[in-house]
Amino acid sequence: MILIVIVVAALLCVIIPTRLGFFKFGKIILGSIFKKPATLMYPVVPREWEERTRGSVAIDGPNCIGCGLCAGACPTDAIEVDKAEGKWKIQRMLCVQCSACVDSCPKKCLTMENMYTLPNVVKVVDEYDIPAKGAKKAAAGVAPAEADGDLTCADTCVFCGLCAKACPADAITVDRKEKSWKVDTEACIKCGACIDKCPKKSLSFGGAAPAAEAAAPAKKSVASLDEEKCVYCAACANECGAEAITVEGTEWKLDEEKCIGCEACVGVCPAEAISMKEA
Amino acid sequence: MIKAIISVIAFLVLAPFVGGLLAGFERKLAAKMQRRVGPPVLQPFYDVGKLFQKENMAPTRFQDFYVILFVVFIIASGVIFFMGGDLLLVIFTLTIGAAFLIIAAYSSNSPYAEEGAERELLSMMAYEPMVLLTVIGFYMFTGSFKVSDIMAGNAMPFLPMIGLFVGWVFILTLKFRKSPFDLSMSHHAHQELVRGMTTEFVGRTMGWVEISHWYENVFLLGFVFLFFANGTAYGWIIGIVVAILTYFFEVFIDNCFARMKWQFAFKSAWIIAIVLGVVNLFVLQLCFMN
Amino acid sequence: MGKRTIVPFGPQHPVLPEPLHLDLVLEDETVVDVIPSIGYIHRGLEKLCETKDYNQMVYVIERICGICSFGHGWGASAAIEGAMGVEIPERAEYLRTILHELSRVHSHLLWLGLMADAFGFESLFNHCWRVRETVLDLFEKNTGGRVIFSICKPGGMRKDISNENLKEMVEVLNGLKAEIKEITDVFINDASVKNRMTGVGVLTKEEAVELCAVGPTVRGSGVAQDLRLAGDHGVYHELGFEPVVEEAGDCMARTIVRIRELLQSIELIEKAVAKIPDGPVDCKVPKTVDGEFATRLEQPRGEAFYYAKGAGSKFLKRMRVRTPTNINIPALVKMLGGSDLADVPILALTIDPCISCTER
Repeated sequence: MILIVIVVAALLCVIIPTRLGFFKFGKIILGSIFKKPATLMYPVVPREWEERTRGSVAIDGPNCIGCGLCAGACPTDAIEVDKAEGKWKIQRMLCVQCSACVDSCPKKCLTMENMYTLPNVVKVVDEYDIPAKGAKKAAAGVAPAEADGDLTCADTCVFCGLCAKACPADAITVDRKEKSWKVDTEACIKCGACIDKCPKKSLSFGGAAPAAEAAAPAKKSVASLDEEKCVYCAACANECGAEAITVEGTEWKLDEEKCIGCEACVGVCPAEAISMKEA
Repeated sequence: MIKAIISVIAFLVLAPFVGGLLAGFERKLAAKMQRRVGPPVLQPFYDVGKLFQKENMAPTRFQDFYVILFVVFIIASGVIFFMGGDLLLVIFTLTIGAAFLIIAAYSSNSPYAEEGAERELLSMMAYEPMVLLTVIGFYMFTGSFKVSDIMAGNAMPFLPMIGLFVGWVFILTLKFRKSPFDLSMSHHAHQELVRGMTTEFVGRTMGWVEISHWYENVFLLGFVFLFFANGTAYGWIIGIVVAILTYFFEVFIDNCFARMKWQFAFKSAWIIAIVLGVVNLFVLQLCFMN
Repeated sequence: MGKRTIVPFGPQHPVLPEPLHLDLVLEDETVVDVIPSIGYIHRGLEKLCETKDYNQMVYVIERICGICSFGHGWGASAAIEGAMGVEIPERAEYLRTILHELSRVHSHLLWLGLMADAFGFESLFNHCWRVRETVLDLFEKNTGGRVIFSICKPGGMRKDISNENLKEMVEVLNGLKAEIKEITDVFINDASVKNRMTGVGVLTKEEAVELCAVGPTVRGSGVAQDLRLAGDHGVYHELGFEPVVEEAGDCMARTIVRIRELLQSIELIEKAVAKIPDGPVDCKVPKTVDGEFATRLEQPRGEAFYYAKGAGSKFLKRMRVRTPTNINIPALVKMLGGSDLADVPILALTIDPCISCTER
């Protein structure tokens, strides 16, 4: 009897205010009691990182060429590259995990790890060994082993300007009209990005160019478009060092005279619509 | 007499533990309601333990004196209650205790504490009528103001006094300072008054305020228990269960409401007191006083 | 006339995690005068931008605010692109719109939580922030950061987001809709919340226009002013965007504006994901900036203004940002006059203040 009255009274205590518009949240919070808490029990239960989670910068030391581009790109000046000593230093507490250094690295030896730098009472400075100046570029693999001099360009050059575009340090200037190729040896950081990019393989560090393969130029080949696949994004026009491609609306034009057959457009096309054909 | 002494000692020793545990379970339950894990059940004890280790940086030394008086009177009211003393004496002692807390808040000269004290005065005005009506109700039902007499009575006061019971549960929200009526000092300090009356209390003083709240909570729930006392074990069990349920019901209310302004607290408390309390007293008068 | 008390509100105040200082002149519990002051969190970011090249600068600008970080990155990039005269690819424009709207979802959920906390509704606060957590997870998955995204750069986006991930994003957001509706129903219909917000801090249409209020503050007063309509940035025209407007002008109206925008943003994301074209997400930009450009962007809090001036090098001569809170402070002072002390936290939050933005 008493129990029934208690229950009825309790219900009335809830129902009357509900009628007045109170307790709108009651259902949710009562339901929540029986649900699992949303709290992540970090750090007792380790966190599952996303693939893109930016935590801390890691370096693959042996591949680093000490170019210092990362230090230049860093908005907080957290990175210091000492090529003479063969040291790559990062002040962990200054790093803001923007991954600008990772993007700037021409050798792709910097990566963004998921795990962050652990909190500390002192300002952590991490040092990594990198090949010191003069050490053999064993890992580089692009430049011939004997070459360690300044960047040079062989006669096979077609002045397409792709090297200048690729250069992260803006050390190369190419003038198509004047047919001139210049390198600012002071600014050059010898990352080899231009060598990778050169369609004619005419660049090298010092000495003679590996002219053997480039000596007999193949028949001129030019880009050709598969109109079915093309999305007219103009990425090829942007990439073309020779400014041979124009894209306007759904019209793709190639100036065959200008085209140097470097295949740069083939590489950037997101729809794989460009291939090479003989002129 | 010996029974009274035992219950007083039991109250003095056990009440802080029960009060602290209740607070711990409350925090756990509130966390559950908010889909959180919440602190350990013993967290309130850790908190108070830490408060006692803190440096005392009170803005005025008088404040500590008033807080000690507050603690003494709150405990005294509980002692009188559990000793089986006079209910009128109990509520007067309780009011004096609350008044000392208000004076302590005023003495700090902090604008937050002062505003909090003013609001506490207003909420005291809001809940006092209901407290008085409840006590009068007990007198009308059992013919005595003495707790021991009420406890020994052979009829359960709950049913005839159901209006007063609901009213008492309503003002418990004010006394426990739960949402919607945590206007003088909220539990979370996320308030325009920072933490209202207790803003300027620190360290040991704040620890004592916490402990006396535990005493006060146990004693207020004892009042709920009194509604079910009929001198049998059966009444004891129902009383204790309902007291605990009431406490958790307050937690539920706390999580279901926005903080109201004092105007609302005042109006609603008086309307409840007049409608439920006074009507209930009339019924009691008609049925039991003859 | 009663005794006048001055109650300091901020710069360190638990109810408002932003260093805004208000001197509240009280008569009993009525606020008769308000003296706002800022200047507690000036970090000199605009000056700092002059020492960084324009790529690094975007990372600095993003850190103006932890809530509308994407919007700031976008605004700064757009100003530089404008100065350079660069048009970014369409896919990048779509991605920016999607991420910006996702920021709005996250910002408004955060604000709803803080608002609930301001009127002492802690459980509502926790539930709002629990829902917001899912949105932050989406950000982490797609951009790599939960709060600072570093995905916008002059010339487009630094990373593409795959179509599968975008579809998954829409699915997750649609799953959240039910929960958001359940929670926001409490804001609109619960009697205790209504009691605290309806009729509080009324800003009439005339006052809102006169005080140059922006964002949800002005839209809550019945003015359909939204820069997404202007179509300078993003693809809002293609998505059929209509601004959300409420007439009442009180705290409740501003809350409803934000709640409706929250759901509208999810719809916009859904439409954008359905229409997003394939293609590159960035384009080549010149290595140096010359010329100057000013542009505006609708942040979750209202209109933000960006100005960039180049000097023919890769460094900017001047970068200027003006944020919505800055413009809304006069409206806040107007609302606070004559209000109850108990309403001050609600009113302070109703403009969604971001003092860190304001002072930079």
